[in-house]
Amino acid sequence: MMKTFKQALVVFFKEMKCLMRDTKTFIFGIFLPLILVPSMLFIIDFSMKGTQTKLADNVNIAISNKNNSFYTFCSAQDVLTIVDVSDPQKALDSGEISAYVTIDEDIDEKIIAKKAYNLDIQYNESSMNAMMSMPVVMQYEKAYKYVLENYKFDSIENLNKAFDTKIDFSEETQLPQIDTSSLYFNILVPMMLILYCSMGSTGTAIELSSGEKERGTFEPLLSTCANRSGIILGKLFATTAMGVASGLCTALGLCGYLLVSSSSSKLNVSIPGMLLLLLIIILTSMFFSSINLLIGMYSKSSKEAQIYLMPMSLISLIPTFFTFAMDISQITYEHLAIPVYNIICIIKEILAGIVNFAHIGITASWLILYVSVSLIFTLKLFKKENILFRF
Amino acid sequence: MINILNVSKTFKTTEALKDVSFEVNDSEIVGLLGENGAGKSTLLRIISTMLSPTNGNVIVNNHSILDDPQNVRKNIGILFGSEVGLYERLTARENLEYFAKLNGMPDSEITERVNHLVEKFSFADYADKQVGTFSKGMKQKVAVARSIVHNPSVMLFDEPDSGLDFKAAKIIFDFMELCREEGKSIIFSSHSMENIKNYSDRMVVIHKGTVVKTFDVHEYREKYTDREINNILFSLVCDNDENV
Ligand SMILES: Nc1ncnc2c1ncn2[C@@H]1O[C@H](COP(=O)(O)OP(=O)(O)O)[C@@H](O)[C@H]1O
Ligand SMILES: [Mg+2]
Repeated sequence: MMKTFKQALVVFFKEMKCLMRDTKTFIFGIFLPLILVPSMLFIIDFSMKGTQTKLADNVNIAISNKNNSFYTFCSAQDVLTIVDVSDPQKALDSGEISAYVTIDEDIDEKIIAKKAYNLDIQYNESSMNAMMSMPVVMQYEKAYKYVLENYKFDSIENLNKAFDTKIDFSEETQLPQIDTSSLYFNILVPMMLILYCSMGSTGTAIELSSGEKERGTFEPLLSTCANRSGIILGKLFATTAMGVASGLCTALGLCGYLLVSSSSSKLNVSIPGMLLLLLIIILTSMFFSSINLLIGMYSKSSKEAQIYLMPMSLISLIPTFFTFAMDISQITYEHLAIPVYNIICIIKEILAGIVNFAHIGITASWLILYVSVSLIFTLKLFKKENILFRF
Repeated sequence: MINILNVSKTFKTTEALKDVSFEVNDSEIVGLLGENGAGKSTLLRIISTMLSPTNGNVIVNNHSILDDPQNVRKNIGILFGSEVGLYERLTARENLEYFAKLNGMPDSEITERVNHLVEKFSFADYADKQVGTFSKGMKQKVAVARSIVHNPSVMLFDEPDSGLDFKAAKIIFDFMELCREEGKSIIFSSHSMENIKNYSDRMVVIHKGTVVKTFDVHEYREKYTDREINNILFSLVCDNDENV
């Protein structure tokens, strides 16, 4: 047992030395996640801000009739610009205006007389920009109707006077609520962590298994006195280390983004939360490493291994899709038994600032179980000659 | 000393080896001649415990591959294929050290042993450079040193001569002679009649998994001309239907 572990360390240190001297692993495993994650988040941030400013600044509308209280109301708003159009439908379609208001010519008289009136708004729903301006117009329509329902007016003059006021909706109510922080934290971040923990070890696993077969170092290695468990454990440690490095760089890139960005999302992860996140990253990497190594060992060449492993990282992402809509309050013990899904549950909790030791303990136990099973499986296969020398 | 005792090996449906028996003495080079697919690699892999035989046994210096594979491995050095099988990102010295460690050599002896081999195969100039930057001949020297880093008493060469230029081939054949002088038992597989004739003491001809002939190379060379030996060998490995 002691001897196996010692041999595993010999293999581990040698593999790490080789990996450190490989610029390829550095760029793809470490440098890339460090750069990719924050830049992706910044791009998302930027593109969302772009639509927001346009929305807040100016919305062009057209109204079928002038000289009424709704026209007065809209004119008073800085956000709304009333445009004269000859062909409303064409103007809507071309995006010249975002909304067209059809209104009774005698609407003010009808209001005074407490009769039913007609106020109909058509929107351009095809362009992103027009879609985003819909809520702005709707807010004013709602405000207008609210006033009419709750107040009584005795003359057209008073009515128009009452509506000749500018209303500023606060930014939050004016815009459709898009909670960017929850988007990052609930979907992107766990997904990226999983992806990098798995992808970070994929290349290394291939290199250390079928890569050895390809370069003819496999037979000399197997002909040594080192026992097979030691060799495979050493390789697992090295592969895991690369997965952890990638996972950590993803996390680091994320922290960097949160520090620099002005986004409302701020990291409220405690120190124990951080440490547990590290534990989860290590276990996740180990989980993927053992599977990747298993497949790499089975394959005759790196090419074959790549063919098997490429869909693997996609398959591993499938459980993440089921967590999109999931609320962390809904996590049950059953969820924590599903690989990958459980990891995401825990990451979500930790990112939300919750440290639930029961959940983490259960997830860790399941992960250790899965790692052990796939490790035992890998070891078994590693001792099978028809796996090592496949034709 | 290697004793191969009635070894058979079947892969699913292919009978790669059928009842193969011969022995290799100390200070002897046995040439294993056979065309592609004859079963040479399979036999050498069985001797080096990477594959287990379907039937039979191999005794390497009194250790059975079935009962004591660990000690068999301790006694065996391999040089498989013309692929030198070195780690390109490690230096020559690190390659040797790694294999010494894996073979359970105590740390205190490793440095000395590695230095000795670096001297012996004269690659001190580039011992601390990464193998990836080496020429084929340089790699060959390191690979040769690597194969005996744990001082095995048995050496297995699986087609070490395929795809080599004469300079690299000379390194191999000089090394084989050296191993013989040191009293090792050596098996050298090849599909080249010439190389086997020139470099081995005894020849074992293997055809479709069976040993079809074993003879003393020195004796034959005295008795027959080169051409006659070739004709004998051809007649052994050509099936009746292939004879013209
Ligand atoms: N792992 C394996 N699985 C199935 N068949 C194999 C395996 N290894 C070798 N063989 C078959 O056994 C025969 C002998 O192969 P091998 O020992 O490699 O021949 P040689 O080294 O003499 O060219 C061939 O027919 C080969 O296809
Ligand atoms: Mg062969």
